[in-house]
Amino acid sequence: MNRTLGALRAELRLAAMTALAYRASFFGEALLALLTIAWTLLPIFVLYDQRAGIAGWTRDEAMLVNGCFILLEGLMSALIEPNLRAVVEQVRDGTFDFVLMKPVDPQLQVSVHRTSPTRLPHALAGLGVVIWACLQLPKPPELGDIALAGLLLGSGLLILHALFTLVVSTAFWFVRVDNLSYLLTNTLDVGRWPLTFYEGGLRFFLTFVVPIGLMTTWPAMALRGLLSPGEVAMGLAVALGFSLAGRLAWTTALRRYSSASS
Amino acid sequence: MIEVEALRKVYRSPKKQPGLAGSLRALFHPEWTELAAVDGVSFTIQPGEKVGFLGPNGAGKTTTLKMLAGLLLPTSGTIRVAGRTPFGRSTEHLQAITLVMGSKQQLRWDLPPTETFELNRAIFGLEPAAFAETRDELVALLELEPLLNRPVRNLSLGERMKCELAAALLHRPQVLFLDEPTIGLDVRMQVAVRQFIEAWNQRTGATILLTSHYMADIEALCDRVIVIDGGKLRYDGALSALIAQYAPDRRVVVRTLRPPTPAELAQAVGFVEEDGSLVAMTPPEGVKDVVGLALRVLPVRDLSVEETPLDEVIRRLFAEERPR
Amino acid sequence: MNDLLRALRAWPTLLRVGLAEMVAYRAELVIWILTSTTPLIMMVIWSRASQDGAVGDYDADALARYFVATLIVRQLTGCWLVWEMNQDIRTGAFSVQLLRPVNPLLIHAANTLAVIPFRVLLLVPLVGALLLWKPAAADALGQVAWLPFALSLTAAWLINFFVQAMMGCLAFWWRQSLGIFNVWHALFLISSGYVFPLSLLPPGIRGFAEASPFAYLMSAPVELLSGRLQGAAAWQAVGGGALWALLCGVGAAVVWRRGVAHHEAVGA
Repeated sequence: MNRTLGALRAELRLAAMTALAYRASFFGEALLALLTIAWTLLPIFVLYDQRAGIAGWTRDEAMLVNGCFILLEGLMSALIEPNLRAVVEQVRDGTFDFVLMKPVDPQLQVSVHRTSPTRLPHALAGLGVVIWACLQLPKPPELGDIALAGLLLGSGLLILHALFTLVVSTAFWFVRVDNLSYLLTNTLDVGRWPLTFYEGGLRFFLTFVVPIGLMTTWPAMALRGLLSPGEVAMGLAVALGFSLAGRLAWTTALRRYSSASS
Repeated sequence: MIEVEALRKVYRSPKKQPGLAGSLRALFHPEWTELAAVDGVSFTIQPGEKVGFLGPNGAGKTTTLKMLAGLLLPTSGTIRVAGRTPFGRSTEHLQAITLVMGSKQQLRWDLPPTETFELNRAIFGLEPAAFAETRDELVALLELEPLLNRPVRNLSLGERMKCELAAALLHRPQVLFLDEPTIGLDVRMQVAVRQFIEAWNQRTGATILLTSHYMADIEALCDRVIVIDGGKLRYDGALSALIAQYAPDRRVVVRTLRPPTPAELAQAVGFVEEDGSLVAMTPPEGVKDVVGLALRVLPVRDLSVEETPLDEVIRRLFAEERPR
Repeated sequence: MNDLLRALRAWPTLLRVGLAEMVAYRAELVIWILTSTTPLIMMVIWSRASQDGAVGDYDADALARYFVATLIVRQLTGCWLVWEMNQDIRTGAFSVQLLRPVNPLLIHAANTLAVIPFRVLLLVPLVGALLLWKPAAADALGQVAWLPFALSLTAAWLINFFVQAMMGCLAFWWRQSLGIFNVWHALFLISSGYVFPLSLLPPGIRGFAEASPFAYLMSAPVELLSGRLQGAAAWQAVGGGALWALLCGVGAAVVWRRGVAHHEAVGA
């Protein structure tokens, strides 16, 4: 156990060093973070130009959801995307074998080996938006609400990790799935908007099947003081379920890779 | 140390017809062919042995190696490496072996090799003192001192390979699987790598299984060779015995001071012209007589006695198995 | 001149090979094509928002029409040149491509065009489903100025291709140019009309957008396809697009030549 933790720490250290080796990216990322706020928030202003509320959300409340989305997106692009995308490349050029030859669980290895801290400005920008929106609310969130929101965001991250793992696991079947991750991130775009903006079957899908609504709308609802701890517990349970599914997909893919199951 | 019994590995691969129509057909009705990459191979390797794995491309060498490492599940048969089954890749198994692939690297591209060494230290949970000792030993043996703090991408292929070897051996494994470690390297670096492997084997008693297309690697390092072709074991034994069996003849090569006269050629029985030299083949016992003959009847400038090149030996081995 | 003729002769083969390659990687293809989900999401959002009334000068039906058009234009003009160039330059594959007697960009162009039939194949059921949901979106078909639309669409494709080529070339100097492309893409999202019609933008940003190539990447062909631009206005849009396509083409040629020279000097 100690060895595994030490190994993960060493991987993270190397990932950080690798990321910092590219100086140019860092400043580009900061600039991009600012532009992201602009391009994300502009539609909200346009949308709410002549209306006070849409589907039960005011402009500032919708801003909460957007902020949570940017925060989650930033964390995802730093902690999840680069790691799992690297696996696809490794499988293709044959260096994935080296991962298997190390005495640390392969899924753990690939979850941290290419962590990219240069993307963290995005997450900070998102956090900034959330804080700003919180200050505009008629009733600012209490400490308990903030804690609940934090838990939900954490479980959102777990779900994202599981979704990415599911997607990357298919790389062991289809040789060239370079940009499944792009597909995933594009699909997750639905999370920019409060869940109630979607109707009928779509809302059901986004709550229970691919719970993107859970990842962004629920934290915002927690900050608005609308969620009970019971509902948060349910959210955590969903995250756990997804993590298990991701693990299952991964181990199945590995068995396929070693042709333990064709 | 390594025991392999009746090992088989069967693959399915999609059949593709050429042309656009074929591609479209494959889209809707994919067809498969089955291929036995390894077909009933058995051998045993003792601790500390250095074994060469020979065979043409697609013979099943890399597949066998991957099964020994634990990367591939055999279709049938048994494998034991250091007393364990490789597949399942238990921590103990992974600590006991190492895999080096000449065409791929585990070093982190953008960082100096020392960083990858540090990473491996943490991954294998090596004690700092033992790690430092092994690392220093490897750095000395491979002459890595000037390379240690430069990013890997700035190193030449040969330099990278040396660092790759060091990174792979930090945990002092009992078994080394080397898959074409000298591929693409210049002659000087090939020699350096061979010498290192020999030295490491002497120092640590590690068992070495080496695949290579460079016969010089095999000749320099391996006392024993296992020859695989078409997934089947063709030969398993001492390299010297292989040579004795398939190419025992020596080549006597003579270069003359001036073109020999027809009379001289008539007397030099057994010699034929080849690339401006005169060459005769003879079993080892006859070398003395042939050399004597050449010295008596030919205006010899230069004379050498050569063994058949290993490439030729292998070629004959395979030729024997092929139906005419 | 010889080079150009050779390239033109190679074109049908390039297209055919591009097509065969796409068929071989069928899974990847579907994924690539599905990555443009934004118009669909926008349709849903705007439809919800416009339930209570029109947004600017767009009523619910007009918004539906707008985003169906956005989906179509995005699919037909999309390419992933900048990613491919970054990868090729990084892996050294680019050096190999330079050794062929056909400009690598032409090969990329052929590959991109070869995918369009597949994109259309996927568009048909998708658009069909959308029209079932919002039949009013098809109302304006009779008013579409088809020739200007086709030209504007071509200009959009060219601008996108040339800009991505320029961005891809930056990887010659910077080893990796996806960062700057993400900045471009963010600007694209704000000012091209991809996420909302440009007329809804505040005046300052709208001015910037309409003066930039962004408007011609999306807004111009989309407005034409939704039948909102007729006559002189339509041809103005075509003219603007053609101008930007020309400028970007020249820019791409210059940056390409410089980039290749740099690549030759520095080495792979």
